Amino acid sequence: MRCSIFDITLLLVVSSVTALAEPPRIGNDELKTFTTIPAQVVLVGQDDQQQLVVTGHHANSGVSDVTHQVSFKAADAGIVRIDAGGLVAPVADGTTSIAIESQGVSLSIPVRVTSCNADQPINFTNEIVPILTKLGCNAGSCHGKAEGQNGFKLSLLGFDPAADYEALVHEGRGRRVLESAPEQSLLLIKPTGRLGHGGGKPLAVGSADYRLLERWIAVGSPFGNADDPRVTGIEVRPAHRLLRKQADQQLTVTARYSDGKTRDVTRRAEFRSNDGELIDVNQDGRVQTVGRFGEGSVMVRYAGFVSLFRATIPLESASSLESQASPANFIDEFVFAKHRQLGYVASELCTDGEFIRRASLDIAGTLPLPDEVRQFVADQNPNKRQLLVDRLLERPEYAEYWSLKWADVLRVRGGSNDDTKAKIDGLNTRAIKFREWIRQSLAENKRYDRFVREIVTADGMTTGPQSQPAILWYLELKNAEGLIEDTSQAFLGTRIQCARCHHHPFEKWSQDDYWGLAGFYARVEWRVGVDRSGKPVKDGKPIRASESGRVGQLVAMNPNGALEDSRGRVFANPSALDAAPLSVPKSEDPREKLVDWMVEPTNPFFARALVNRYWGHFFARGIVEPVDDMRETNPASNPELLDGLAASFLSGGFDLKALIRSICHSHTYQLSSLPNSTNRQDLKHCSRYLPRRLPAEVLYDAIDLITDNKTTFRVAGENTKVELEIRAIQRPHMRVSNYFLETFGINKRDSACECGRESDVTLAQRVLLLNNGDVQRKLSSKAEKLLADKRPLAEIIDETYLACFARLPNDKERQTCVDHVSAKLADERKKTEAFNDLLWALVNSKEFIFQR
Amino acid sequence: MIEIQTSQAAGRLCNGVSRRTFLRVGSLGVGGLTLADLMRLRASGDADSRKTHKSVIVVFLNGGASQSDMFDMKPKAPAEFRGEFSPISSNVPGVDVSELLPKHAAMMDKMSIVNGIQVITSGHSLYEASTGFAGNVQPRRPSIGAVVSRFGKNTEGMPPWTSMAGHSDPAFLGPEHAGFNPSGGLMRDLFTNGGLPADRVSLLKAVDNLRRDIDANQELLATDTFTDKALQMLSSTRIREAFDVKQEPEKIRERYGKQNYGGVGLLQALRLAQAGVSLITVYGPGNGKWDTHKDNFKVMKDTILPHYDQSLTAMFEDLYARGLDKDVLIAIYGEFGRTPRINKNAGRDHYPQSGFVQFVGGGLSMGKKVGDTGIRGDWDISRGQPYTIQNIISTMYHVLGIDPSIKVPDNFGRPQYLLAQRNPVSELM
Repeated sequence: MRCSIFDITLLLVVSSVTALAEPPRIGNDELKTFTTIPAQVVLVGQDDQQQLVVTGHHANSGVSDVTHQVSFKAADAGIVRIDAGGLVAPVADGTTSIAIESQGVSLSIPVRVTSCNADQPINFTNEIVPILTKLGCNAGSCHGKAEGQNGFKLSLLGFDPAADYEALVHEGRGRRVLESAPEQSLLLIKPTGRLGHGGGKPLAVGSADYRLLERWIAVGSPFGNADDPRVTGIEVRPAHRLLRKQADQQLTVTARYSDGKTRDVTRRAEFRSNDGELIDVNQDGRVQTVGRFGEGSVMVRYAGFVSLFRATIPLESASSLESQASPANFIDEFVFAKHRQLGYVASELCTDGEFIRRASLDIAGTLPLPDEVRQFVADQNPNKRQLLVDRLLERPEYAEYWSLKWADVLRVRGGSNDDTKAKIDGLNTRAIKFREWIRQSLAENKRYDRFVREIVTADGMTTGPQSQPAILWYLELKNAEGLIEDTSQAFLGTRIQCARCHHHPFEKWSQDDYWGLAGFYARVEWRVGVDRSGKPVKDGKPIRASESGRVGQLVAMNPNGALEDSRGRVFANPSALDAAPLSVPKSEDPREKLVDWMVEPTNPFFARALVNRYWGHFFARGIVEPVDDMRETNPASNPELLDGLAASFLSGGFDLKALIRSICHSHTYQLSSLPNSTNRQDLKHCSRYLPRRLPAEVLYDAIDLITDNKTTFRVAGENTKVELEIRAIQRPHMRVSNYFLETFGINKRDSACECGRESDVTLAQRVLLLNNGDVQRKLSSKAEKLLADKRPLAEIIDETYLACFARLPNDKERQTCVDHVSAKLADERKKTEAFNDLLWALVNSKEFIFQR
Repeated sequence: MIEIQTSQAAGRLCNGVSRRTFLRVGSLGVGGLTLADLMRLRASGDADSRKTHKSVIVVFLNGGASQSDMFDMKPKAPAEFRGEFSPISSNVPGVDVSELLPKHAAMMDKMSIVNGIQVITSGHSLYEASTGFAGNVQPRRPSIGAVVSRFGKNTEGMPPWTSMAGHSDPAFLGPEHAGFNPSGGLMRDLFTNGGLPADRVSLLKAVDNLRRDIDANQELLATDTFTDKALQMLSSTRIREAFDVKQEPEKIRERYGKQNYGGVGLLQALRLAQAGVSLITVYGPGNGKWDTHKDNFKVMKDTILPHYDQSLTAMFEDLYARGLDKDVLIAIYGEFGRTPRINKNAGRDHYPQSGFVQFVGGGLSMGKKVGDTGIRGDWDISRGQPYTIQNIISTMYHVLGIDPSIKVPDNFGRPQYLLAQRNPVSELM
C-alpha cells in the first residue's frame, strides 16, 4: 500500500511540472491594466503603513512589477500620503483613494484610515523588538553577543523580549529610556550618532522607526499585556515571479496576529538575498535582478518568522538550439522541465570515454583501466552505460569508496593527539571496526532505514568481543546534545545546533524544538570502568554521558533520564519536529521512537536529506546546498526533483544502490561539461556537467594506479606501529593519512558536515604535484618500466593517455609527445627523463586532476 | 568598516561553502591571495613593492616575562616587591630599565614600552597571545598571521605568514591561511628536488588542454594560475635564502649571541621581513625559561637577561641599520606578566593583571614608556581601561594596514569582528 501512495504523489508532481513548463512570459510590451497588492488599503492608527505593489499586465498577457515606474496621487492628501515608492502612511481618519497612473493606464484604489488620533497601545515584543532586530542592535556581532557590547546586552535577534525589556528599561541606571525627555534617552541618542556609538548611526532622527521608539518611551515604555495579540506568521507577496535581468520587484510583507488581524510590516522586516550573484534586495523590500539568468530567492525575517520570495530569471532570447537529450527517466523529466522554465538547452551527451571516467570515479572512486575504456568504447550495446553503472555498483570499490563518505559524516576519527597512547590504540581499533561495518552495510546494500536504525539505537559494550561497531558514534558525540545535532544534520538534513542556545536565526526552530528532539537521547547513559573483558566494574556508578570517559558500556535505559537546557528548563518527554511531545513508557527505548518517526513515509526530512546528499555527490551541488542545511529559507533549486527522488527512494524501500542507478542512468548525469550558448551561467540546474577536482584520496589512488604503485600507510602515535597496505579510499580513520592527503584536503571529521573536506585548489597542491619527492618517485618507477617496454612509442603514449584521461590523444598531442619522448630517448644523458616527462606532464594536467 | 559578505545565506552555516563565496583561491600561507589580487598585481606589473611593504615580527617570551625586573621596575616599593636588581637610567630621560639590560639602556630612544598589559587567561596561553582571545570561548579564533595572510597587502611569491612560534591556527579563515612552517611539507616540495627541466614544462603546456572556463568555482582557472606561480617559485631561491642566515657576514651573526641565545631565529625573522614576509612569529631569547616561579633572580641574571640584552639589541640595531624601522614592527611580549610580589621561593608567579610589550620600529613613536602600574606594580589597573593583547594586535594591524573592524563569518556563519578591542596603543601613534 505504501508504494502505491507514493506512486500517486509522483504522478501528481509530474503533471504539475508539465503545466509549469510553459515558455516564460514577462511583460515588456504594451501595458493594459494594473493590479495592486493589496487591492485596497486599510490603515489603523498613526504608526500603521502599507507598502503597495503595483503589477502591470501587458498585451502578451505577461506581467511585470511597475511599482517604481508609476505615479501615485492621494485624492485627499489630508487623509493619507504616499511616497514615490508606493508607501502609504496615514494623516487623518477618513476615506479616500489613491490614483495610480502610467503610460495612459490608470487605476484608483480605495483607502480607509481609522483610529489615527487614538494612541494605539504599543507592544514591546511586537513592535519595538523588530526595530532592534532590523537595525542590527541585537546581532551577534553587537549587543546580541553573549557578553553584550559595552555593558548593554540584548538577546540574540530578540528572541528573549522579556530580558531585552529588562535591559532597556531597568538596567543602565535608567538612562536608556527617559520618559520625561524621550529624545534624551540613550536608546535614541546613541544609534542616531548624537553620542559616540561603536555601531555607527543606523537610526535616522525623525524616521518612522525613530518616531515609534520615541512615542513608546513617551508613553512610559510599556511591555504590553499578556493577552496582546502575538505574531503567528508572516507572508511575503508576491511569493514568486518571473523577472527579467536588471528588473525591479517590490515586495510586501504582512504579519498575521493571534487575534486574526493582519498588518503590513514591510519596513520592519529584514530582507536578505540568498543568491547575491542573481538578485539584490534593499531593506525597503525592493528586489533588483543583477544581470544573470537563473533562479534565486530572498529571505524575509520578522519577529522570529521567516518567509521567502523566489525569482525566476529566464533566458529571454529564444535559442535555435534544441536539446539532444531525451528524458531517460523521471529525473530527466523534472530537470528538463526546469530547463524549459529557464530557457536553458541542455548540453550534448558526453562521450563514452568521459562517461566511463566520470562514472568510475563517482561510483567506485577509481580510474578505469585502459582495457576497460577500450572495451567500453567498442561495445555496441545501446544500454552499455546503464550496464556499466550496474557493474560498478557490484565492484568492491563501490562500498570502499562510499564508506569513506559515510565515515566522514559519521565522524570515524580514531584516536586524537589529546588521547593517551592506550586510548589511541583502542579508538583506532574501534574505528576500523566501525568503518568495516559501514563498508559491509553498503556492500550488502542494507536498507538505508535499517542502516540508520542500527546506528541510532546502538547499545552495549564499547570493548570486548560483544562490542557493537556503531557505539563509536556515541563515543564521539558523547552526550544528548552532540547526538541530536548529528542525527539532525546527518540524517534529517537539518542544522538544529543553533537552537541549542537561541532560536535558530534562519529557521522556525526554537530552543523548545531543540531540547524536545534531544529528549530522544535523554535516557542514554554510560557506565564507566569496564574491565578488559568488557564487564562493567562492580560498583560502577552511572554518570551522564558528557562526564564519561571514552571507554565503557552504553545503557540506553535510564528511565528517569531528562535534559535541562541553558535556561534551566527540564525536558523529560521527547518530541519530534513539528510534533507534540511523546510519552514513552519507562520500559521502552525512546530512540526506537525517534527512528520510527524518521523513517515514516510522511517524514518530510529523512528521505529528502539522503537523496539530496547523494545528488550532491554526483553533481557537486545538492538540490539544496549545502546538502545538510535544508530549511524554508534555503530552497531547493528544483523542489519537484527533490520530492520525486525522495518518493522514488521511499517507494523503492530505501534502496541506496537503486537510487544511484536512477541518478546515473539519467541523461542529466550524462551531459557534457561543455556549455552551449544558453547554459554557460547555469551552476544549479544541471544543464551541463560541472567539472570538479578529484577528492584527495581518489587522486592519490589514481596516481598509484597509473604508476602501478601501492602505498603503505604507517599509523603514527601508537604503542604498536601498524602498517596498512591499503588504497587511500580505504582509510579507516584520521590517523591514516599523509602530507599529500592533507594538502589536497581530507575531512577532519570534527562535524557531521561533508564541507569539512576542503575541495579548493591551492598553491601548495600545485607545488606538491609538480615537485613532491614521493610523487616523483612513483612517476619514476613507472617511467623505468616504460623505458623497458618494447611496444612502439605511439602505442605507449596512447596507453598512457587512456590510463590518465580515458581517451586517446588527438594527432597533434600524440605527435608532440612522440617528438618530446623520442628526442630524450636519443640523448643518452636524458634517456631516463623521457617517460618521466610524459607522466609528469599528464599527471599535472587539469584533465587528470579534474573529472568532467 | 568592511563586512565580508557571503553571497548566499545558504552557505552561511558551513565552513566550506561560506568561505568559497569569497572566491579566493589562496593557498597554504604562500600567497593566500585571491585570484583578483593576483590579476591586479599582474596588471600593475609591480611585484616588488619592497619600499612600501610592511611587516611585523612577533617575538614571544614563552613562559611569561617578569616586567618588574625589566621595564617596569619599582625601586621605591617595599622589599618583597622590589627584587634584587636596580634600575639604571637610559638614553631617554625618565625611562629607567634594569641594570641587566645595559645595551637596551643605550638605545631606549629606539623602542617603546607599554606596561600594564592585561590578559584574560591566567594559565600559559600562547593561544591568547597569538589571537587576542581566551581559548575556552567559541569560536576558535585565527592567529594573527592567518588574518594577515587573508587581509594583508602581501608580497607576491613570499609566504605572508611564517610561523616559527606560538599558537598557529587559521581557524575559520581556512587552511590556506595556515602559517608557512619552515619544517613543513611545502618547504620540502619547494627545495628538495631542485629545479625542473624547462622542456618538461613546455610539454605540460602542450598537453594541458582542458578548457579552463567550464567549472563552477573557477578552480580550473585557479589551477592554471597556481601552476604558473608554483613553477615560478620552484625556480626562485628567495624563500630559501631568506631562511639561510649563513648568507649574513660572520660579524653580524656573532652579535646575535651564541647558539643557545635564540638569536638565530631573530636574525631569520629579520631576513624574512626584509624579503617581504608580512608576519613572522618567533620565540625570543630564554625560550622556556621565563616561567620563573622560583629562583627568578638567579635565572634572570645568569641566563635570560644577558641573552635578551645581547640578541635583541643586535636585532634592533640591524633593523635601523637596514632602514627597516619605518616598515617593520617588532613586538615582543609573553603570555602575561609576573607577580610584583615575590613568592617564598624567590620567584614570581603568573600575573594576568599586568605585563609589558616592547615595540620597536614600524613607524611608531619610539622612546616612549606607556602605562602607569603604580608604586608597587600592582596598581588596580582595572580602574582605567588597560591595554590588552587585542590592543597589541590592533597596533600590529595598524602598521600592516588591516582594519580590525572587518567582520568575517565564522564556521557557523556568524559574523565576527577580527578584534573586539580595536583601538591600537594610541600613545605610540
